[in-house]
Amino acid sequence: MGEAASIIMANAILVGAETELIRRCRCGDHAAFESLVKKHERRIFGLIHQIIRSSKDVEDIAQEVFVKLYFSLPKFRMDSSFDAWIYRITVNQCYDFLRKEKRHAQVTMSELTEEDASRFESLESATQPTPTDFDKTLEVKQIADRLLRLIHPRDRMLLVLKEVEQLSIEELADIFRTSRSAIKLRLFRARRQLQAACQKGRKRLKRKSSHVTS
Amino acid sequence: MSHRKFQSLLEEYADKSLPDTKSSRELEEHLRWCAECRNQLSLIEWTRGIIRMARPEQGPMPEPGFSRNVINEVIKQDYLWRPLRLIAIRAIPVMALLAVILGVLAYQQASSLFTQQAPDSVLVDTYADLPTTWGQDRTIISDTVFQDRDRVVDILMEGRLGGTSERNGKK
Repeated sequence: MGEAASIIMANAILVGAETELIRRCRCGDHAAFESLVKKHERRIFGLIHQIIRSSKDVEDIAQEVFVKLYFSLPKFRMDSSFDAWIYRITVNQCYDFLRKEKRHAQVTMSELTEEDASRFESLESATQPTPTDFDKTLEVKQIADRLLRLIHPRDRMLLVLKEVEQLSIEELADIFRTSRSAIKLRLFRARRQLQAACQKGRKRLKRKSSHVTS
Repeated sequence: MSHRKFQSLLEEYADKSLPDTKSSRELEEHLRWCAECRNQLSLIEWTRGIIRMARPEQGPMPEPGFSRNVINEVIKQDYLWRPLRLIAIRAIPVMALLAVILGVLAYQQASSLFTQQAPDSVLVDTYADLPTTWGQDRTIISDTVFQDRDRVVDILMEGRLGGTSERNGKK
């Protein structure tokens, strides 16, 4: 038997086991649900942390996600992707949290200090060639993090799912319940937003430096 | 393939997930002379770098008792909401039935109002034709009656406005 065939078979067994767990959960089997939670908890913690960018509330949100998951299991269609289902609940929960906390109030570039602007310059020089050449210093990481916070959370969630979780366009379309072309358009807009945020910072720095020389 | 079609393939191309090598080769050919697509591709790669760089190194990990806490919360919420859910499930058909009954009653009421006609005896040509039994204190004579003086005289002679005449007679 080939390697590919054995991988497919192993996947089928895993999917079958998960389907069985879901079936048991629907019948009110708490032990089965505990197994389901244990299976997905690390991934969900990571995703929530990526989206809200704070460690403080991750556990609370994760708990809400799993509780919601339990009560929405009767609505889950067994022929659809369970991963997409759980991702959708997580994304919605995170978005609700951000809306409640008003953390997504976008920081305008005018609020950035001169120091931030100069850091943008260093980021720009660090990100010219290919992504693999990035200097992963703490400072550059912080700038990247700050840039990501400048864009709307909905766009941030999409970019994180695409680039960090490495989900395909197909999977994103499934999570956000939209078409593949709509996802591509939203991704493009989100990327443009990120670029615009960086460009504003650079312009600000240029204005500052020209003001100092004159 | 059109420029738009190539543009729509850029995300998959950057992911190296284009389904066939033919489209990949065609896109590479297109990228050679299309600056707009090149810019879009570099935007995808640039943002990918930023996002991956911004990835937090170590996020919080679930505590060993996390799954147990979730189950406890599920049990708690189930205990709280189950009676309400049961009531709601039973109340829905009853409410629906009530709504249907009320709707039918309202329809019957409304249709009888629209179809009901006033009896002929109530219809009068002029105000002067109103029966005296209505107990009017004042004589009401319409403009049309005023225009026809003979008719006014006739009405008064016949005592059709007797309510006022009678009261005057008593005085």
